[in-house]
Amino acid sequence: MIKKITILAIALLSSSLLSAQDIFDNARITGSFQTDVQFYRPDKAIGIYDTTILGRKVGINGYTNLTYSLGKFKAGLRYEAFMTPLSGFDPRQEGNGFPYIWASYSSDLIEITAGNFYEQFGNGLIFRTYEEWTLGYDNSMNGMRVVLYPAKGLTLKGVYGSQRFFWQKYERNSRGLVRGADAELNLNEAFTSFEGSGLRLSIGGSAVSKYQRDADPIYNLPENVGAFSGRFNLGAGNFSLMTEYAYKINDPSAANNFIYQNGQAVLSSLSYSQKGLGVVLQLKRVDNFSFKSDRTVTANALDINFLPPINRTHAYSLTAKYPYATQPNGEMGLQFQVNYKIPKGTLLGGKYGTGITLNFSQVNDIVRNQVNDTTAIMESGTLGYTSDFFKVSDHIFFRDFNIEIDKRFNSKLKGMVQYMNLLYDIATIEGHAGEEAVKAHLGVADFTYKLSSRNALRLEAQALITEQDEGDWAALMAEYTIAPKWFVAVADQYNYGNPDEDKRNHYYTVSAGYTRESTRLALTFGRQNEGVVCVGGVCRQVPASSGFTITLSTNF
Amino acid sequence: MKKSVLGLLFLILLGFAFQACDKIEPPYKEVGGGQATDDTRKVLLEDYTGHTCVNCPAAAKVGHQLVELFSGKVIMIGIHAGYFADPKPAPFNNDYRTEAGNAWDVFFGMSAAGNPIGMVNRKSSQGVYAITNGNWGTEINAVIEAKASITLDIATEYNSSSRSLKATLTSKVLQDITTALKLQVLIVEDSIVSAQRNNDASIGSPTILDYVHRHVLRGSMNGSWGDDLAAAGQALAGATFEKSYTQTLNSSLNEKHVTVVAFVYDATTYEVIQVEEKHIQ
Repeated sequence: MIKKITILAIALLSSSLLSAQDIFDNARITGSFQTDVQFYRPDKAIGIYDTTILGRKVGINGYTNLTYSLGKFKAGLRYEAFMTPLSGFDPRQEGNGFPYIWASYSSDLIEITAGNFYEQFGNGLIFRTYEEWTLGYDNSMNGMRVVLYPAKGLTLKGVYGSQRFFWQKYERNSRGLVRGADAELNLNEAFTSFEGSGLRLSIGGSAVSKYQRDADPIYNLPENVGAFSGRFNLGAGNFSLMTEYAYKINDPSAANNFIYQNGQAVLSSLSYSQKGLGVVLQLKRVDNFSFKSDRTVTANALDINFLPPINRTHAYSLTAKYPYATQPNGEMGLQFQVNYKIPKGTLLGGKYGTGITLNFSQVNDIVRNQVNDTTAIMESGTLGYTSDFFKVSDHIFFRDFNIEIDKRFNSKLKGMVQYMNLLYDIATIEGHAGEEAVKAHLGVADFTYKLSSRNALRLEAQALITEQDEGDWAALMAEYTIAPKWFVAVADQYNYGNPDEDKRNHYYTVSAGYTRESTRLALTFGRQNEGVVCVGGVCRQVPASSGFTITLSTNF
Repeated sequence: MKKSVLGLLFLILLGFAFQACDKIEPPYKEVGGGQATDDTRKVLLEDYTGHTCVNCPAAAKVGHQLVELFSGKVIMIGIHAGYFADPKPAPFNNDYRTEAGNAWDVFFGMSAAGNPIGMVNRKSSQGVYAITNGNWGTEINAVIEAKASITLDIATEYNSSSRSLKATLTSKVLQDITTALKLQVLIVEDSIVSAQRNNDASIGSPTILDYVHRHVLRGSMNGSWGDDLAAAGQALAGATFEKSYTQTLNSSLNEKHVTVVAFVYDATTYEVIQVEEKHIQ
């Protein structure tokens, strides 16, 4: 750590032509800060006892980001402290330090980064590193990155390094190494003949390889695993088509139960847009495509790639209660969405116009056949299975049909109603083997009434009707905003249809917030439901929590 | 100029692609083995599990493959602790949790990291004890050739009618050990048949009613953290230590499947430096 800072300081100071004055006067420092604090208390009704809290009455997650820039030179760092992590975060998050330190130089020809970085090739099918604070996820690289712009329209990228794994430092052979390269050519920029053709075309290709030593006594494992992908983006008029295909050689891992099958993934998206109308169709096939820089890791960590979900991300508490999680071992999905704005001045459009969003997505399993009569499907230490690329299994993991209508009635009142029909295979997605899939109807209504130019009241009602899992839920929320500084809200989620009468609990919250310039303080008091999260074959209980939460954030 | 750049790039990518791929041809499994001798340092594999943990049968299978692969050199115990071991409505109404198991589960951060999870010789790396089942083999392989610095011998006397069990542990130091040592003596029952959730089709259905739980920790003969065996600086080559414990075997245990598992560990780091197992009958 100290070494890293020294290197940074030397890099800073030795930037030859800079006087000490430049370093301070012409430079710019930006940053952000956030801390989330939760106080926990026993709450017997929802199963929280002193033994659950184990004396850890307070959880605090916090970070500070700093970026220094001076001309073509930039450097930055992020400090994090999870002491102790909030309930529901991986306990391996516990710790403090600088997990993210970097310095970079960029010109028209070259951009170099040393230290930690985030990067993505194409859609991320074979390489994407990113950070998601609210989930406690960070798979940043620690190494070097070079981006070259050798000719107009051509971008070349090269990366290598190790990935972040909570607070465990990379040591020789402690986990894998990642190296990769990507090339993208924008034909419109590169070739003058493309100008004015009405076509927009770019093509790209990447290769990523990971190295991890094999010292396993049971299996003969590949130490170098390569993955390749090719992609194109084609646009013509109001249409655009994007497709990426990726392939990976044998990569037996804990995530795929140590099978030796190759992996494939394809993602395709066709869209049309004009004023007031947007249509998107997306298709995806994933077959044995978990790609991690440590083959034994099952937690939500050390992913080299990212398989983008093609499902709508819901924003309301009950519609987001059963979210789909990509199944890297195999899935075939489709999403179709239409956004249409009924023009103003028409019968249905009224004075302000009416927005309609229709969305459908479904994800099925792939079809797996036995390799031979004596080998079970997915049996470890074998090829695992064979699969026909175009065949779709009858097994549905997830289906979501939803329609949303939003309308402004007059200058004071606007509203939104939504219906959602959901099928959620809880056995696969949450690892609740043997449990029946959740089939649910959901409804949401959300209305905002402006009392004055500064004061507004928002009311939100939701219902979730299902026979499975925890049964029916209802939720209500009222929020009062005094723009631009204050808000207060009360909310309750009531599990009135839980098959177990003792668990028909209210999960209430009361919250208030204050914002001034870019500083925001929010206080919440209430309860959070328990859940089980399963990622890559490991399940962890996210305990129910009850108590006070404080969030303070600022940008500068 | 553009063409040559592209061509060069293509060649680099292609070269990279072929360089960085290890295509494995069958057979995918390796054949290992080894024989235990007097100065073998045996390895303790702890499998933290629970009957509603769907991925645990697959982990237990890996554990047994390792026990067989290194016949006689690896001793495995299954510790039911944490959320997935809690008794639930039938058929998951059994309680295999133990005081010692619960204490270790919390102290070493096992189920909190997610089940299945385990430890190999309670060895930690950068303060982390938890090892996922995909890594058990590699971790065992790394220590399996190590020579013992201490021996451990278990002698048992068991009276079937009174169910009284006496275990006598004898240790002889082979090489000087500078740190303080502790001795832990456990009661383990093998092959308990009861329900288990499962996610691995090659093992069985999602709920296996007659699942065979192997090497289940059923209790300790000397508390959750054992007894002092030697103070720091006492365990010099040639020194011997003897301890014995008596306990009445719980009537729910099948005496034919009961073993005493004992291990000696470093009181400071918790690392297990010798482990042994003996059937009581």
